[in-house]
Amino acid sequence: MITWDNFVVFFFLTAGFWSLGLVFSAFTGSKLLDRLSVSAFLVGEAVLICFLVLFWISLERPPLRTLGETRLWYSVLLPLTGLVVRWRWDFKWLVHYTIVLASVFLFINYLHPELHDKTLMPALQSVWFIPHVVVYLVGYALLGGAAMVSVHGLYVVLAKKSGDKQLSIANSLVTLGFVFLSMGLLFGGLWAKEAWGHYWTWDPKETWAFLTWIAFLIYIHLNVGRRMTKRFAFTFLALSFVVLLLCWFGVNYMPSSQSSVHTYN
Amino acid sequence: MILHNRFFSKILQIWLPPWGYMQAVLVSVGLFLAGILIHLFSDSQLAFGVSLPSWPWNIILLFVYCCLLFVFVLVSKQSAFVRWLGGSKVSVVAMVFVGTTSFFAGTLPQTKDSLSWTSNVITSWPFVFALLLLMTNLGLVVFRRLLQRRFEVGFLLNHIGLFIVMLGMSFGSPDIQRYKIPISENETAQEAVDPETGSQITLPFSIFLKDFQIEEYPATFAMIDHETGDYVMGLSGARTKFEAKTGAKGRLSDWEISVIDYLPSGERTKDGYEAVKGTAGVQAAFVEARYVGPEHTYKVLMHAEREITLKPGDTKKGWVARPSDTTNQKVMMLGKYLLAMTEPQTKVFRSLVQIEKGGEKMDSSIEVNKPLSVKGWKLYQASYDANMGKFSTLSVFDAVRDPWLPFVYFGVFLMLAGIVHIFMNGFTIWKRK
Repeated sequence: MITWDNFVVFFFLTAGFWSLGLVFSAFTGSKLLDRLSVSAFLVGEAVLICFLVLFWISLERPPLRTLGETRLWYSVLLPLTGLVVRWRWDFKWLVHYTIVLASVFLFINYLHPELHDKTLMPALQSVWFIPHVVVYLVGYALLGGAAMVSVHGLYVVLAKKSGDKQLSIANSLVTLGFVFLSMGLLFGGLWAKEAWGHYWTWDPKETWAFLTWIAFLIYIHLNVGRRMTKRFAFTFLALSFVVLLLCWFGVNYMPSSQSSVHTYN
Repeated sequence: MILHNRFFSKILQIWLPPWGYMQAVLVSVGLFLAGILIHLFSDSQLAFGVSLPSWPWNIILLFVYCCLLFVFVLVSKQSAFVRWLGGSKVSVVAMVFVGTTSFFAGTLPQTKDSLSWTSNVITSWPFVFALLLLMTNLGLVVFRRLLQRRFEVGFLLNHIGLFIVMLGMSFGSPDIQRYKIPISENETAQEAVDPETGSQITLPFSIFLKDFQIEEYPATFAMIDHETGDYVMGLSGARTKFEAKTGAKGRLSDWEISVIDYLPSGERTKDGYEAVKGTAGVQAAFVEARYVGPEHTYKVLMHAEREITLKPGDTKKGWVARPSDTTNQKVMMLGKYLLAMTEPQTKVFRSLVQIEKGGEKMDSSIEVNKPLSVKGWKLYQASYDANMGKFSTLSVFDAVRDPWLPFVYFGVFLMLAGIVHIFMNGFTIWKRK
C-alpha cells in the first residue's frame, strides 16, 4: 500500500530526475544532452504519476479533496503543459519554469504533510466531483503556463527584443486554459444544482471563480481588433494569474470565507 | 473667468462623439456612484436593494427589455450612442465594472444583518447597474449579429448562451421558491416553511418520513496525552489516521494497538459490546495495546500518590467505543495516554420517504447529491438534528422550485457547445484582422 508516508521517496526521486534534467539542459548546443534532459523530465513525471495512481488506489477515493492533494495534481499537470508547449512550439524555457514551480508545490507538500484518510463527505460524493476538479486543475496548469510565458515575455520586451513568439504561445495557452476554466465553472453550476439546490449562490469561492473567469474574458476581449501593447498584454496575463491564485488559496483567508461552503483545508 | 470657461468646455468636450473607453469608464463610475447614492438616501427597507416583480410581470419586463434592445439595434445605423453602447469598448469596461463590484461580494462577509451595500452586494444597486450595463451591451451585440446575419457559430453560441443565462438568472430570480420541510420519523408533512419570512405554503404532495439514516465511515483511533493535552492522531511516523478495522494493527506513540474485534454497529452489554443490526448502534472495538516504549514511571491521573511503572511488553485489553444517545463514550487508559475513537465522518445522509400525490403512493429515498423530483419541485436532504447526531429522528428537506431552470440550462448548454467550438477552432475573432 502506497500511503503518504512513501511520498518522501517519490518526492526525492522526482526532484532528483528533474534536477538532473535542469542540469543537462544548461549545456545548450548538445543534442544528446538536450534529449537526456527531456528524458529526465519525463522520468520524473512518470514517477510522480505512479505515486498519484498508487495513492489514489490506497485512499479508495479520488485524491482531490484537500489543498495538498490539489497541489499534487498541479505538480503533475504543470510540467506536462511545459512539455507540450516545447513539443508543439519548440519553446524550451517554459519547461524549466513549470518544473521549478511544480517542485515548489511538491516541496510545500513535503514540508506540510496532511493527515490523510479515506473519507469523502456526502457533498463530494458525486459524478461531478472528478470532472469538475480535474478540468479546473488542467485549466489552472495551462493558465499558469501562460502567466510564466508572460513573465518571460515581459522580460524579453523590456530588453527591447520582439516578444512576438512569447505572446503567440501565451495566447494559445490562454485559449486552451479558458476552455477548461469555463468548463469547470459550468460543471460546477450543474453540480451545485444537484447538491445544494441552486446552480449559483455567490458563495465566496464561486464569486472568485467568476472573477478569475472574467479577468481572462476581459483579456480575450482586449485582444479583439486593435491589439494592446505586448507589455500591457503580458502584465495583464500575469496579474490575472494572481486572481486565479487568490481564488485557489486565498479565499480561505478572506473575511467572506466564514459563510463559505467551499472551505477545504 | 476665462480659465473656468476653458475648464468646463474641456469637460464638455469629453462628451463629444466619438465615444470610447473614456466615456465608458465615466458612465460606469457615474452608475456606481448613483447606485451608492440610492442606498444612502433610501429607507432601510430599500437598503437591501433591488427586487424584481415575480411572474408574470417579470416575463413581461423581459419581453419589453428585449424589444427595447431590438429597437436600439434597428436604429444603430443612425445612432453613434447605440453603436458605442453595443461596442467592444463598453464590453470591456462593463466587465471590469461587474468584476469590481463582485470583488466586494467575494471578499467581504455577505449578511442581511448589515444594511450596507457592501454586505449585500448581489442585490445592491451598484452591482445591478453593472450587470444591466453588461447585459445590455451583450444583448445589443447578439441582436446586431443576428440582424446582420453574421453567423459565426462559436461567437453566437457563446454570446447567446451567456445572454440567456444572464436573462434567466436576473429576471427569473423572483420566481425561485425555496422552503424548508422539517419532518420527524413516522410523521407526514405537506407544509413547507420559508426560512426567511416564516410563512408557510402547502405543497401539492405530502411526504411521510419512514426512516432517517446516517452511515458512517469507520472511526479512527486517537490518543490524548493527559499530561500535555496533546492529540496523537497519526500513526507513528506516518501521515495516515488509524482506522478501526478487525485485524488492523498500528502504533500510536509508545503503544502498539491491535484491533481484535471491530463492530460497525454495537450495543453496550454488561461486559462489553454486542453487534446489532443496521445503523442503530455505535462503533466499538475490542483492542489489545502493548507498550513498546522505554521503562517509564508515571503518576496515575487524579491519584497523584499512586505510581505505576510501565515496562516494555506490558499489555492491556479492553473496549473502546463511541457514545450513543443513552451510553457514554468508552475509552482506555494507557499510561499517561487515553485511547479513544474520534467522531466518525459521515458517509451517507439518507431519508427513506413515501410521497403521496393525488392518491398515488411512491417509495423513495433522498440523499445529499441525490435529490428527488416531485411535481416540479426538487427535494434535497438539507439537515437533521445535529445534537442527536446519528440518532437523529428528524430530517430537514429543502424544497426548491425554479421554473426558469430549463431556460437557464438551455443557455448553459449553448455555452458548453461554444466552448467545445473554441477548443476545436480557437477564438475565430482573434484571427480576423
